[in-house]
Amino acid sequence: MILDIYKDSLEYSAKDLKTLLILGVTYFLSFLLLPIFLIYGYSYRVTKISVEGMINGNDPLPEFDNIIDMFVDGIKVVLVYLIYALVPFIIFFLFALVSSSIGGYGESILMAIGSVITVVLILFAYLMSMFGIAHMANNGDSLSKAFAYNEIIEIIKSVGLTRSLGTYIGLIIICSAIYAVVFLLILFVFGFFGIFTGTLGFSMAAGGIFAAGFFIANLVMLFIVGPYTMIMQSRVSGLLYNLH
Amino acid sequence: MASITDVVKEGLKYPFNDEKKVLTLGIIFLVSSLVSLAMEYLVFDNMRVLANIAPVDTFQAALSALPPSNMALIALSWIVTFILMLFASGYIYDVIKYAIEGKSELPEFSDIKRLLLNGVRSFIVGLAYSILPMILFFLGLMLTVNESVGASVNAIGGIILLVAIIFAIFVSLVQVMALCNMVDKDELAAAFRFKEILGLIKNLGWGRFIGILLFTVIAIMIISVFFGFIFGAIAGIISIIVGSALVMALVNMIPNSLLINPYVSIVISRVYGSIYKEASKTEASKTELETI
Repeated sequence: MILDIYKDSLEYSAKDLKTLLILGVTYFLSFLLLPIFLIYGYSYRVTKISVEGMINGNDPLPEFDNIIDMFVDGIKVVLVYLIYALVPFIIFFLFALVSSSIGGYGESILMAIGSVITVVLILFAYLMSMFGIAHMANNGDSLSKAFAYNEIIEIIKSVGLTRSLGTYIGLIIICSAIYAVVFLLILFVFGFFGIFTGTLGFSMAAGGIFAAGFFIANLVMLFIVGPYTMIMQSRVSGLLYNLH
Repeated sequence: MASITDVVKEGLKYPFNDEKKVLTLGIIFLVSSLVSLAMEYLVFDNMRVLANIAPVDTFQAALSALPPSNMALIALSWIVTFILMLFASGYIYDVIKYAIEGKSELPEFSDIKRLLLNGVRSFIVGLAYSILPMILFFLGLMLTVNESVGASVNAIGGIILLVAIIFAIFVSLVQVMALCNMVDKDELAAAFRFKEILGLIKNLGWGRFIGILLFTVIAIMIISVFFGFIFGAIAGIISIIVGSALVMALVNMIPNSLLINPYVSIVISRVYGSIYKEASKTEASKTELETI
C-alpha cells in the first residue's frame, strides 16, 4: 500500500514540466516573502486533490491560477505549520529554563530527558501538521479543523502510527536519494566532458566546464527537483490521509 | 456561515472588480502624499534655518526667524491633505456600506458633499475613540519618564502604560465594529452605543472576530512587504542611475500610493463590512430562533 503511494506520487509529480518550471521560478523569487505563500498554497491544492482522489486514480495536477485564493491558502498552511512547530519549541524552552535554574548533575539529566522528549515531539508535531492540513482540506478549508487534534489523532490511529511515521521517513529518504542522484548525474556528465576536453589539451576549458556543471546542477535542483519533491510530499500526505 | 478565510479571500479579490475606481482613490492618495512630500521639504528647509541661527533663545525668536511664506505653505498643505483624507475616508465609508449590503461592485465617486460629510463622521469616530487611550498613554508615559516624582510613582506609571496599551488594542477592536455600526444605522450616535456594539462582537465571537482581523492584517502585511520590496528595488536602481534622493522618494512613492495604499484600504474596509454583516446575520438568526 505504502509502495503504491510512493509510486503514484512519483508519477504524479512528473506529469507536467511546465508546472514544475513555474513553481521553480516562484521558488527562485521566494526571498520576496510573498511567493513562499504561493508555493504553500499550491501544495495545499495538491493535497486537496489527493484527499479527494485515490491511489493510482489519474488525478490532474492543480492549475496555477486564482492567485489570491492560493495566497490565502498558503498563509493558512504556514500558520498550521508554525503553530504545530511552536509546541516542541516551547517545551524545549521550558526544559532549558527549569534545568538551568537547577544546576549540577540534575541539570544535565533533566536536559537530556528534555531533548529526547523534544525530538519525539518534533516528529509528532510534523505528523500532526501533515495530517492536520489534509484534515483541513477534507473538511471544507476550515482552519479550525487543522487544530481539531482529537479527530486528527483518531485518523492517525486508524492509519497506524508506525505506518504513517514510516511513510514520512521513507519519503525523506526518497527525496534525498533523488537529490543526490540528480546532482551526481549532472556532475558526472559535466565531469566527463571536462576530463575529455582536458585530455584534448584545453585545461582552462576543463575548469570552466566543471564550474558550469556545478552551476547547472544547482539550477536544476532549484527549478525542477525542488518543486518535484514538494508536490510529491503533498501528494503523499493527501493519499496517506485517505487510508483512514 | 462563511469561514474566516472566505471573508478574507472575498475582500482581497473585491478591488479587482473595478480597477478604475481603485486608481481614482489612488490618485487622491497620490496627490496627498505628493503634498506631504512637499511639506516635508519645507519643514526640512525650516529646520535648516533654525539650525543656522542656533542657539535660539525663545519660541518667538525661532518663529520670527522662519520665512513666513514657508509657514503659510505648510499650513495650506496640511489643510489640503486633511481635506483629501476626509474625501478618501468618505469613500471608504461607502465601501463599508456596500460590503454590509452585499453589493459586489465598487461605490461611485458621485456626491462629493456626501463623501466629505461621511469622511468627517469617520474622522470624529476615530478621534473620539483614540482620545481616551491617548490620555492614558501620555499619563503613563509622563509618570514613567519623570524622575522627580520618585521610583514608586514611576512603577505605577509603568503599570498605567501597560494598561493603556492593552486598552488601546481593545478600543481599536471595538472601533472597527463601531464604525460599521455607524455606517449601517447611518447615524453618528450609533458609533457610541457600546452595548449594541459589544453585543455584535459577542454574536460573532471574540476569537473569530480577532482571528479575521489578524488574518487580514497578516495577508495585507505580506502583500505590502512584497510590493514595497519590488518598488524599493526599482526606485533604488533608478536613483543610482539618476543620482538623486528625491527621484528615489518619488519613484518609490508613486506606485505605492497609486496602487498599494488604495488597494489595502479598500480590502480592509471590505473585510470590516463583511465582519459586520456576519455579526448582524447571526444576531438575526438568533432572534428568529427565539421567536420560533
